[in-house]
Amino acid sequence: MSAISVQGLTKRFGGVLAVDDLSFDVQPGTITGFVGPNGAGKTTTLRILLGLVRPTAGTALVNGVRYASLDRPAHHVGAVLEASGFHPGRTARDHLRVLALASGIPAARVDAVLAEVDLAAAARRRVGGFSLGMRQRLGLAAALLGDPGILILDEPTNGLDPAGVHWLRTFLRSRVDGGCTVLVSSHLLAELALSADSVVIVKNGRLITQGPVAELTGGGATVRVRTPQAEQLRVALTARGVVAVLDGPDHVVARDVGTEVVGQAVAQAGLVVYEMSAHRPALEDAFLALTGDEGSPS
Amino acid sequence: MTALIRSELLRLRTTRATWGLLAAALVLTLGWEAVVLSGIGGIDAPARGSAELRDALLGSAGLGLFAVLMLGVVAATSEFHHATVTSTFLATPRRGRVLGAKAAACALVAPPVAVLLLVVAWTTGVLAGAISMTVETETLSVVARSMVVAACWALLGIGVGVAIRNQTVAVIVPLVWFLVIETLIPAYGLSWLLPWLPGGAMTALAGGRYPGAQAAWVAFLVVMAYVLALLVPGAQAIRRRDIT
Repeated sequence: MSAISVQGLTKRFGGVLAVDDLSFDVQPGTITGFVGPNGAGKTTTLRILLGLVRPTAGTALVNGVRYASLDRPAHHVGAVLEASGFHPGRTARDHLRVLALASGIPAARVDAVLAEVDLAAAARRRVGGFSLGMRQRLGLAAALLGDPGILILDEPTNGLDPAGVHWLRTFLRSRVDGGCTVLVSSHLLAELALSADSVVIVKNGRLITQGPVAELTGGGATVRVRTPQAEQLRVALTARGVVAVLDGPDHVVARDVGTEVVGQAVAQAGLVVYEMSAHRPALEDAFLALTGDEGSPS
Repeated sequence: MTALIRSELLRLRTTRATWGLLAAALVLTLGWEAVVLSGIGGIDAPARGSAELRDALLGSAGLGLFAVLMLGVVAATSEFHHATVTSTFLATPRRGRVLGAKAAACALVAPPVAVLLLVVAWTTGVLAGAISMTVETETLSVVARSMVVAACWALLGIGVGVAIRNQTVAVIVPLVWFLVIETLIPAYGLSWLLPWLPGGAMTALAGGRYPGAQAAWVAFLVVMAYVLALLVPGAQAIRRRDIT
C-alpha cells in the first residue's frame, strides 16, 4: 500500500483551478520531492492531504484513509506547513505542550523533540523573538511529537541557512533510514536532488511526471577530457562507438558515456591525459525542460 | 474530549492576553467600586452598612466580568489571528470538537474569575468600612449567580468570536452593542425589547432589576439561545472552511 495516494484530485478556488486532476503515489520508506514552480498547486495539494482544504473532486489518502478520519493523526502523520502559525507570546515549549495535550502525548516527549531539532536552549523563549529558521525547526518539532511514520513538509528550507538545509537533509535521510516516509515540497530542485529518492513534478496543478530521480536525469554523462593528443583520443573513442567531438586543440567531449569507458580507451591507445571530468545533467535542467519554465524568477 | 479541554486550558494559561484581561477585570471592578464608595453620603446614595450599598459594591464585580466576554472573543478568534489554527486542526481534524473544547475551557475559567472579583470587591468594601464583615446568605447567592453569569459571558464571547472570526471586529462589535446600542434602547422607547436582548437578559440573570426583567431562569434561556444562534452557524462555517 502506498503511504500517500492522491487520485484525480481537483480543487477550484472560485474561478481558479489550483489542482487539476492530479494523481500520484508515494512509496513507503522513501523521500519524495514534490516540486513545481510557485503557484503550481503544491501547497493546496498538501493541505487537502492533511484535511485542511476540501477537494472539489478526487481523493487524497494517507495510509489508505482520509487524514480527518485518523484517530489522533499526530501518531501517523507529521506536517510542517508554514512558519507563521505560532502565537508570538507563547514559548516554544508551551506551544508544543498545547499540541501534545490535544493529541494525548506525554509532556516528556515535548523536551525530547525540542532536543531533536536543536531548540532545547530556546525552549522557554517566546516564539515572537524566533528567527525564521528557528520557527521552521519548531514546526518540525511539532510534526515529530507523535513520532509519525509519515512526514509532510511544505517548503521546509525557506528561511534556513545552508547549514540548516544540510542539517534538514541529513535529518530527513536518517528518518527514512528508520522506516519513515517523507513527502517534501520545494520550488528549488537543486536542494532536493541531493536528498530525494523520487520526485513528483507538477505545474499549473497538473502532474508533469513522476519517477526516481536517476530516471529523470537520464543515465549517461558527458565526459570532458584535456589531452595534448585530442585527435587520437577522438579516433579511439569513435572506434568504440562513442560519440566524441573535439573542443578546441586539446579537449575532447564524449557524450552519453561513463568515465570507465573513456579511461579504458585512453589506456589502450597509450595516451596522456591531463584532466577528465564527468557532467551529469542536473535535475534542475530536467525540471526546467519538463516544466518549460526557463529562467522564470522564483 | 477531556484532553482537548485541558489543552485549551493550557492555551489560555500560556497567553498573555488572558492575564491582561484578568488585570482589566480587576481594574474595572476596583474602579467602579471607588466610584460607589466616593458617592457615600450623597443624595440618593445607599447608606453605609445598608444592603443596597453591599449590592452596589458587589455589583462592581459584574462590570469586571465584561473582561470574561472579551476572553471568550479572544480565545475564539486568536487561532485565526495568529494562524495557529493550522496546527490545531492538524492535531484535531474534528473541528467541532476543538470549538467545543474552547467553549468548555472558557466556561470553566469564568466562574473562578467571578469569585475572585467578588472576594476583591467584598474585601475592599469591608476595608473601606462600607459593609460589615459578616457574610450574609444574600452575599453567597450573589456569588453563585455571578458564577453562572461569568460562564454565560464567556460563552457569549466564544459565540461572537466564532461567528465573526476577525479578532478586531469581534472585539469591537460587543463593546458597541452592550455599551452603546443596548444602553440607548430605552431612549428610543423600545424598553419592552430589553428583556429579550442579550445585555438585558444578562442583567436580569445577574439579578439586576428593571421594568419587564425576566426571571433568572428565563433570562438564562434567552442568553443560551443567543449563544447557540451565534455558535452553531459560526461553527458550521468553520467546519466547512478551507484553512489556507
